[in-house]
Amino acid sequence: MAGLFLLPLSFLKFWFFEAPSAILHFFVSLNKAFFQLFSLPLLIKTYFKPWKNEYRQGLVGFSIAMGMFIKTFVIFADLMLFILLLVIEIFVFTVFLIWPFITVYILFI
Amino acid sequence: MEIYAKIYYFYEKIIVKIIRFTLVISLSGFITFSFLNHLFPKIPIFLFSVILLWEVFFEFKIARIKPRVQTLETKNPLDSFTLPILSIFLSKGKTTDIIKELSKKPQTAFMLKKANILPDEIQFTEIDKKEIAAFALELVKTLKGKYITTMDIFAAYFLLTEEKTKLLFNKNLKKEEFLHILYWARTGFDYEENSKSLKVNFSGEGLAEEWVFGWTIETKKYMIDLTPEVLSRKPMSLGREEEYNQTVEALYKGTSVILVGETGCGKESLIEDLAYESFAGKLNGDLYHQKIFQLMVDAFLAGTANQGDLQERLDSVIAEISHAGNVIIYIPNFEAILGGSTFR
Repeated sequence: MAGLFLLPLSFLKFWFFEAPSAILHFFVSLNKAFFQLFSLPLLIKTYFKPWKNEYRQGLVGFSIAMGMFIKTFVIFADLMLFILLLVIEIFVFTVFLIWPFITVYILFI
Repeated sequence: MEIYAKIYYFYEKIIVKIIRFTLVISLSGFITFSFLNHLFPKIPIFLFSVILLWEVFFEFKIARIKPRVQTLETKNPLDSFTLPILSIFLSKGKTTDIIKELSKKPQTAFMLKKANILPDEIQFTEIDKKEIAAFALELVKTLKGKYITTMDIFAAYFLLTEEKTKLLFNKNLKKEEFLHILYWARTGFDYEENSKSLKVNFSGEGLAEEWVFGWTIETKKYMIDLTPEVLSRKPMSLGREEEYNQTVEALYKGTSVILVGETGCGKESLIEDLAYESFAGKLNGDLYHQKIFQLMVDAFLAGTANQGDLQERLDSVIAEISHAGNVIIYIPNFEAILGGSTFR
């Protein structure tokens, strides 16, 4: 029966300590998956390398230029998407934290 | 833990589930209807929000609670009970009621099916709850499990009542065989013991990987990419873990590997495992997202009039692969390349 009275405390501990930490871990894994899916680190790392790792004489210079041209657009698009993802994550995290307060506040509107 | 187990048992009852669902639907319907009529129903919104808060708390805290200690560290079996079994164990007074409740679960239905026992054939005999819990603890320790699950209590009941019921005997099952079924069920229904963590796992190649690695046009004339085929069915090379680890270790060092063994001993399964793990991104460094190309020896040798032709073909393939950067070649029947006479 004592456990029942401790339930609200357990709820607060979960909502303001355990869950935010779990959400942050989830977002970290989500961001890692995003980077893998859109190959952002790989694109930056190979920015000056030839497209399709071209090695035939006479084609290397052109491949590097073409690679840089395409990769610039893709990296830009990736970054835009990543910023959008970050904004969504911050929004979700904030809403989660203030949700119990909003619930109580509704009564006083 | 006990209070959570009782809440879990109450909350997972079918009638309570129906009430929860009805409440959420009717409140959301009422709120939508009010908004459409330009009203702001404070109390229903407050209630709706409280219900959602509680649902989140239940789903992500209560329903995911782990036992206090693992079986190897405990003397009190109840401390190692998973939430589903603890909730039933505490809520039911008699062992027979516990077994009746357990027999409705999919994991125990799996065990019954594998043991060729029909649910009607279960004979209910009352045993002391402490006795069954202690016996289940021993079973889990034998199977090197972490916690006592619904399946362990179910199995413990069958084994403890076997002397009276002779059910397993009538089904031509020995104790060891029944324990194998238990092990099988525990492996297949492992979510009770290992709760899923909230994590996004991305496996496979990223968007731009194909742009970075080189062409393999010439190579593909003589080789098959094993990865797409392997991905359609997850490979399982049980019992070859040591050889697999040795292969991976050697490939990390940049050396070639020769797998020697009788036909059917698992050489190809090992390669399929490697292809799967590499594609899934479970291997790092030089083995991350590599493609395994299987050489078709006949196609490679066909149409070469002399050694010079073969040399030329070999050179172009080697040049392509070395620049591709993501190809590992698998040559089946390696001895066949140079002819049987060279194998002496």
